[in-house]
Amino acid sequence: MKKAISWISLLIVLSIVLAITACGSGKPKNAASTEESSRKAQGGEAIKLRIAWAGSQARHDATLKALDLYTKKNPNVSFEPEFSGFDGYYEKLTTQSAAKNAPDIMQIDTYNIVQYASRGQLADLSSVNVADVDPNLVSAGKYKEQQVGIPLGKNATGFIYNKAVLDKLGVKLSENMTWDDLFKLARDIQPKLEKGKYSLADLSMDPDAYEMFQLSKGKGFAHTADGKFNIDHETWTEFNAILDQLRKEGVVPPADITVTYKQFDPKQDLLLNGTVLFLSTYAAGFGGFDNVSPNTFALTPAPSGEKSGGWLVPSQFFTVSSNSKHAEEAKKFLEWFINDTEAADALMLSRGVPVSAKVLEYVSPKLSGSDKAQIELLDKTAANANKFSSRPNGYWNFRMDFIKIMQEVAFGKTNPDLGFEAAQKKYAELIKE
Amino acid sequence: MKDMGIFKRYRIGHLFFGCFAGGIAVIFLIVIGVSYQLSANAIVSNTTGYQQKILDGLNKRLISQFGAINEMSLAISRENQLQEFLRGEGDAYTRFRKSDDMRIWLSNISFSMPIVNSIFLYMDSPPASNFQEPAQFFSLDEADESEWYKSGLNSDFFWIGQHAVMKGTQEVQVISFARKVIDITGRYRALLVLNVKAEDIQSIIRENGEYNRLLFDTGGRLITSVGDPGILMKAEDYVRVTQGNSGIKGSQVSKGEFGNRSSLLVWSQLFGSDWLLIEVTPWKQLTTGSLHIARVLMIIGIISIILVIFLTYFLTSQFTQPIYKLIRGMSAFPSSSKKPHLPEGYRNEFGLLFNGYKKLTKRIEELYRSLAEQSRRQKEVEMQALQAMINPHFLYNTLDQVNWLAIEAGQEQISRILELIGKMFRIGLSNGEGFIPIRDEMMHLACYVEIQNIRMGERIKITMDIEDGLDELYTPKLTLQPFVENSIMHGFHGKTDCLLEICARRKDGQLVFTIADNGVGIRPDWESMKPRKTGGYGIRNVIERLETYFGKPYGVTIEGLTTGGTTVTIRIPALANKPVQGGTFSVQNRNY
Repeated sequence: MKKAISWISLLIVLSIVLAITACGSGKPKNAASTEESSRKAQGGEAIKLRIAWAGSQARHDATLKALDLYTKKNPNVSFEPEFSGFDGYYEKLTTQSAAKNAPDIMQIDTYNIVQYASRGQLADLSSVNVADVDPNLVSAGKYKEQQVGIPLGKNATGFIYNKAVLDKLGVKLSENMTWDDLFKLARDIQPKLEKGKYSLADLSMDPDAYEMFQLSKGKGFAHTADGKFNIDHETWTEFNAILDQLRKEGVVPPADITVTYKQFDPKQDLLLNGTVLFLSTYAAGFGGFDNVSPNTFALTPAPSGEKSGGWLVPSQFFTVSSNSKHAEEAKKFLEWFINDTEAADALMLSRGVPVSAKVLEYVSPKLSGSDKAQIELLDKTAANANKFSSRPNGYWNFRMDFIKIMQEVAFGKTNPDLGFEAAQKKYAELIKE
Repeated sequence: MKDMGIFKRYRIGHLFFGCFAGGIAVIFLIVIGVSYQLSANAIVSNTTGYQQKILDGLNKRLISQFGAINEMSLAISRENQLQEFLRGEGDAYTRFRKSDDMRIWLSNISFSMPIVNSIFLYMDSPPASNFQEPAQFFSLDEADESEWYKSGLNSDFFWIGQHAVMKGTQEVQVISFARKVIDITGRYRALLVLNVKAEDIQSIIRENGEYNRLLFDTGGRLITSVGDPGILMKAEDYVRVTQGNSGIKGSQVSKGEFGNRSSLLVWSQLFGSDWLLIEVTPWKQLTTGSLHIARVLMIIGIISIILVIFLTYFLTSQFTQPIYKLIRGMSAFPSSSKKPHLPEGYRNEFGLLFNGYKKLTKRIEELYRSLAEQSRRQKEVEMQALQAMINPHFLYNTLDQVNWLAIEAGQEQISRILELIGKMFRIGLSNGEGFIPIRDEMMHLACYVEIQNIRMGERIKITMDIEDGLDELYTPKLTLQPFVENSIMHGFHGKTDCLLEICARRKDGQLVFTIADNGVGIRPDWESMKPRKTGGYGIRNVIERLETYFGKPYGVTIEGLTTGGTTVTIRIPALANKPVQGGTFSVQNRNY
């Protein structure tokens, strides 16, 4: 009897001890950590790539779609996108780069790729497979024989115009429009427009338009192929005189209206809000306009003169920051981004005409009207395009100051001659060999 | 003892089983309940302390973060460039240049302080700004119209809780710091709003965990929150709870207060800080550990209870089986002719009980037997008494008449015999008494021997040696006569000089008679011989009578001597008075 009692009490004590130790070891684990570990188990270390780009909403949407797709296929890689319009984009990149806080992957233009590369801010991308890409485009992403940028699209300069309005007015553009044709057309249309509407944007504050103008005169780009200052004084004077006259005639908007131009902003983009009918543009930007007002706009090649005014460029590069901790993952992503057909399905022509011949072939049957317009512009420009050489080191900064000088001239704060001198001075100051 | 009633009413087996199993179940339930309660309490107090520490730490981080924003905003508002820009002097180009520079400058501030998502400047006649850029200009009227502006009307700077702003075409959740920009003349010129991505603040508060935390400013306005939106609903309730409890730190378990969910509320507001951080932990989440303990205990408890039930069943049957067997045996006894079968081998209390019961039944059986024997003898005595109930007067009278006939016929010997027989009868009857004085017994014996001498020609010599003082003691009547008769009839058969010695002695309170003869000696197997009709009957009668009256150690011993002759020893108690004896009756008083 006594044995039985002690036996039972032993059992009770034992079970209590068991229970207490069991709960001691059975603390609920942090849900977050288990999630993370399971993710790690699935596909290597969890990596977050910061990626920055600029452009229109159409490009943002397409790029985000592509990023999602990549994350779906590579669950260990996720993205932290930073995107905006072109205004302020490079200021941001500059600030971030100065703070050594640049995104892993950055969209950079022909204007400033050399600048970033020369400062050692870009990683070597030689290992990225570019076999299917036009060698001319590939070489545009090289700095001192090192691949620092992967071209994302083929691009061409030209003009975008409000075809809907022109159709209403019964105006049709000629196939090979010259600058004179354009200015005449603008003058002809202007009387038919209501107040506050202008037929042409004030190109005097548009360095790209000026370059088109100078090229059409056979005077080359604003710089020589080896990076020397090449703004032609005579052409510059003529260009400013024409636009000053047009401004006075009210064919282009007053300078204070022109400076409110904010690209792709539905309210403040002068083309989108109907203030002007003609604007210089790049082919790759067309989607951004077409996306806001479909079937409204059309592209036309840069007006010609003695020579063609247009040129072909890589629409933009993706580069990898030399400070990136995940450069290898970033390169893998870039390779996928330009070569993969699924990526192409997401991107289509939002970043210009695909650089990979295979991808272009793949997307060709799927192209929309706006996509076709881009390709058409490219084809038309390609026929007698001016040969583009990479921009000299520091050209972006010069460009920003050149715009200011153009604005001062347009506002009448200074005369074209003084402006020319100022530009020449700035160029000497900012462009490094 | 009323409450002990159940211990009297119900079967021991059921009681034992019920109490044991029930008791252990109750103990387990108590252990489970107490351990759940204790561990839950411990967890709550641990959690409270831990959370408070964390919240304090977070609060400090927030103070420095928000402090930096505040200072940045102050620095911007004091900047000459801004002041000049706000004055809006100069021609169109100058104004454009200033606004463009301002845009770039503010954008750069935002770029260089990653936590500042965007900077909004509300002013009179704002310049154009790109909707995708961080620096944006708005009209002051827009600020006036907005909901958040009203909360800070009277202060120069204030925080705006989480709200949405448009960046590009995207809606971004931000927390904002607004400061009124005053120019040198003291005029309110613009409102500078620094937008901090709510996500950044949330990630500070969240710390990569899944916590439900709310951030309030001193005015009890919700700045931002992280966690389960279901739990975070009705933020004002939380503030009410924390403000109801004075002090800058505290905790409270609130049951069923927030959307019917029990939660633990821990809050921290650092001294001199504008921020009140509240952490809400659902009760369920807190007590997961305790529930786990309780569940484990419950499982162990159930297993143990099942084990205990088996054990108790085993024990109960082991303990109660003997009792039931005993009860069965007891109820069967004595109606069953069979002896109750009780288990063997018990050496404990049950063994004692069984043995005691066995002894008891054995004794009862013995008593039954002796009672039956006694009643049989009683009947015999009664029968004997009845036989003796022949009317003595008739015998006396008849003897008297026969005596006269003998005298007339000159038969003096017969007359003498008849006289002696009459004497013997008188003693033999003795008023129906069973006990007579030894003197009378001796006289009866003497009469009998004289009759035999007359018959056999004086062959028998008898000596009587009675110790002094024994004459008056009592003896059962006719005790000695059958032995003497036996000696004369069998022992002296064919002998001429027959000696008979009768001796009475007192020895240790006993009265010892000895009857010794010099006859042929008794056969050793006399006891097993069949009683004949005449002889032997008397001796047996005496032996049985003595046994009935006195029992051991009294009685008769008869021994044949090797030299010939027989000695009979009769032991009876020395009775000074006539014993009162059932079954005796006075013959004289009966009217036959």
